[in-house]
Amino acid sequence: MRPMLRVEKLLLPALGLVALAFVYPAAELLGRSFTEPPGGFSHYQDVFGSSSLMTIVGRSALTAALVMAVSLLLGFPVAWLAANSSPRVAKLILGVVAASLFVSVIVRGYSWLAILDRNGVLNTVLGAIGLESMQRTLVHNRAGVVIGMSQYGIPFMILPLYDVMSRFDNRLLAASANLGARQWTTFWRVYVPLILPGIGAGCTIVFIATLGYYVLPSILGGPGDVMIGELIADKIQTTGDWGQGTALASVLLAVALLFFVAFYRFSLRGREGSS
Amino acid sequence: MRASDRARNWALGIWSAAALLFLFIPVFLIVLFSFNDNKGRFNFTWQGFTLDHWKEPFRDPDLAKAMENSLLIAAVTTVAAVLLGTLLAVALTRYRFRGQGAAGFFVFLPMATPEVVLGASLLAMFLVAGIDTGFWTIVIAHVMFTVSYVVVTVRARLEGMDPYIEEAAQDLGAGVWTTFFKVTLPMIAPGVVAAAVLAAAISIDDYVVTSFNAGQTQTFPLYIFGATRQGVPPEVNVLGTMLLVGVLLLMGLNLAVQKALARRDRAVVEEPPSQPPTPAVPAAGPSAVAG
Repeated sequence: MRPMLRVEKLLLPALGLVALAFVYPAAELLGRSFTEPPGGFSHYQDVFGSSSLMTIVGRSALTAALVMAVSLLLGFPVAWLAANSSPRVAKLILGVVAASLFVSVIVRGYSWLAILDRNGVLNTVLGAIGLESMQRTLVHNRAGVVIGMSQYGIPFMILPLYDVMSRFDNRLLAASANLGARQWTTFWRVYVPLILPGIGAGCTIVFIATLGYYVLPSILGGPGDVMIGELIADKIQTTGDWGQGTALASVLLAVALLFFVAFYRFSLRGREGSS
Repeated sequence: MRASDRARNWALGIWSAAALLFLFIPVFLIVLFSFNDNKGRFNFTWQGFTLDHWKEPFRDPDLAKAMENSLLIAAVTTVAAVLLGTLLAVALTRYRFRGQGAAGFFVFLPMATPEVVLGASLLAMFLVAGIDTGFWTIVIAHVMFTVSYVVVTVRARLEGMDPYIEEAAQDLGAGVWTTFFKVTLPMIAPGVVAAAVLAAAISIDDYVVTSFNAGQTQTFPLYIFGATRQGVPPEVNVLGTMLLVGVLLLMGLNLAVQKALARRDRAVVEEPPSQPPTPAVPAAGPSAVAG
């Protein structure tokens, strides 16, 4: 064992920064939600008592859950393909995934506008191949929000999934088949349970990242698609309503942390215990 | 292979291709529309090919200034976050101490918090402390939430590395810092570079946290989000494409350097011909792919 002091030297700056720039400000935020006049639980009573605010909270959670499901549905086969292809193909697939990750999210939002708008690329293509009946306006509504946010979320789903899948021992599938299990049974009873940490990590990242995010909804959504993040930003930055703003932010933080702690206990701790 | 297997593989392939297309199409159109001979305020319909926007990407002085700020903030953020994050990652993987689990959990927290909460909290603190928001408050915010990503990335690299090599160096008389700089750092370098690229990319792209703590300072995301109402110039597509190409070049360079180093290491190990057929030290070259 090495002397304690040296370890603390390595730890202090980074943890000090997180304490000073995250924990302390978060405490400040929480405190302010109780001390802003009229104080006490009044702002929480306002928030939970207002059906319009609760609609926005519910809408945000529902949208995040939907985006998480779409990202899993579209990301799962891509991660599987990358994990079960030759290194060259895997690199190509992960390259496309990474490229989409490193393009400005706002610029991507504008790109979706150009694609999905009434006179956009998609409808032009559909018209050109004689499918006018399928033309839809997919922006300034919930569909646009889910499409844009899913494109944002999928890479965050694929990367942890790929990480777990590429370390999966495929002989287990053969063993399961040899023991008489059908493919479907093998998939659900052998494969899915063993890659569950990857699914958990991907879902947690996507859910938390989309829950409070509001840039894409504000570009791609309509007037009825305001999300909780936009509401908080609006209350604090524009109207200066720190009471409700901090109360809403505290609720959002609590939901995200609950989700994260559940995931952390369920998967990460197990992994650390085994190493 | 049975017919049902083949059908399943085909279905999976088509499904994956559709998903990749879904990821790729908006990116492709950003690049394509940077060549659009756009006349209106919005660059949303194709009007013909032109190279004009690429000739003068910094025509708009506000956009140029915003981009300059973003690059500067990303540079400072990356250096600070990589420095702090790498040290913490080393402490978490190479030492055993009380509160280690808690420290590991603690550093994850900013990653697990919605950005709007991070931004609002910091603004609340800066206001109470009487600090004017601007360039440096943005940097503080960015370092705080990119440091988690650095720790995760570097830690993954460290965990895949044999700790006995470092112990061997220390047994041979190298001090703690010599071991770190001559042994640990070269071996985790690909992970550190990957973390740096990630931190820079996150910093350059951040809107939400920045919008709370920017004061009068404009950044690239703040500028283009603010332009939603007045119109988005096509130069935005050019700059977006440039950033993407820059990041991809850095990632490619990282891979190429790793490969070259691995080849050199193999050559060094295999060179001495007088050695008996089983070398005493197995090839220590980093053979892993990307970090």
